[in-house]
Amino acid sequence: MSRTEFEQQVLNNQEPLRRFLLNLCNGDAALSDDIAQEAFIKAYLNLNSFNGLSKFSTWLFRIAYNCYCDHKRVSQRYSSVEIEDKILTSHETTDQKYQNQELYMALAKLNDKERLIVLLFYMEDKSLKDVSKITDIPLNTVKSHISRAKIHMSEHLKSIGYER
Amino acid sequence: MKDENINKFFKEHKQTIADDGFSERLFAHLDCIPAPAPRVDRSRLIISVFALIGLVLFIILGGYSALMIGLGSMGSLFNGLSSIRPEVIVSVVFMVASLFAIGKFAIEDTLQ
Repeated sequence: MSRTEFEQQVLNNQEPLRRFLLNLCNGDAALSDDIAQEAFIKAYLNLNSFNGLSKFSTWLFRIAYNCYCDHKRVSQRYSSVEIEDKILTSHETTDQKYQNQELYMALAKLNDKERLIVLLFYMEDKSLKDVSKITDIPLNTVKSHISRAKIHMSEHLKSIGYER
Repeated sequence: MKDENINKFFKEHKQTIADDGFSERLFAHLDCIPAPAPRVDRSRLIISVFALIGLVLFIILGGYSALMIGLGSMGSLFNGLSSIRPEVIVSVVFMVASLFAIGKFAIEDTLQ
């Protein structure tokens, strides 16, 4: 893949990747953009190892998820307190903040793995097979995480009017 | 909970993330990094080398005569087909199944 093709892939994938990381980082836009940038740079440096057997976006999301895990591991080692309260970014309007609050509240009902899988499957419209590849979790385990996530979110979604 | 309700919720809460110079900053950063080296596919070379080694060994170790003897003994085996014992059949079936399993694993491994 040439530099021009890679730049085109960046333009196509930056929005879904940054949204995925933003939601994974509980709305910390600065942190999610840092991780997204790191993921794109790693992808560029390892373009040779992309063999084209999966979609480029799947490969990219896998790299980004690994970067996120690395960051989480390091930040857990060096500080256990500071991360949680940096929710919501400065350039959001009030409506967006309210909408995002609803989303984060629903996601808060899930554990880490369920949140990850739900974001990929429902928010980013990835197939179950792609979710399995990105997260390195077996397909059947992905399915059972989704059904458990549905149960965990159902109460909250009912309370805000999504069960009719 | 119905899947369509969850889909609706996530569709309605899907954020739009503006580029806001992210791509430009990334491209500027990539300009400072050396371009990745092009991929070199050595598989054809490796296959050719090993095929050549195999052929040389086949000739040096008298592979042709061994092959002829083997084919001859296969012929005699089919002549006495009625005398084959059940354990021979079981072992042949097991071997074929093992070869299929290994082949399937190898294909899956390559695809990953």
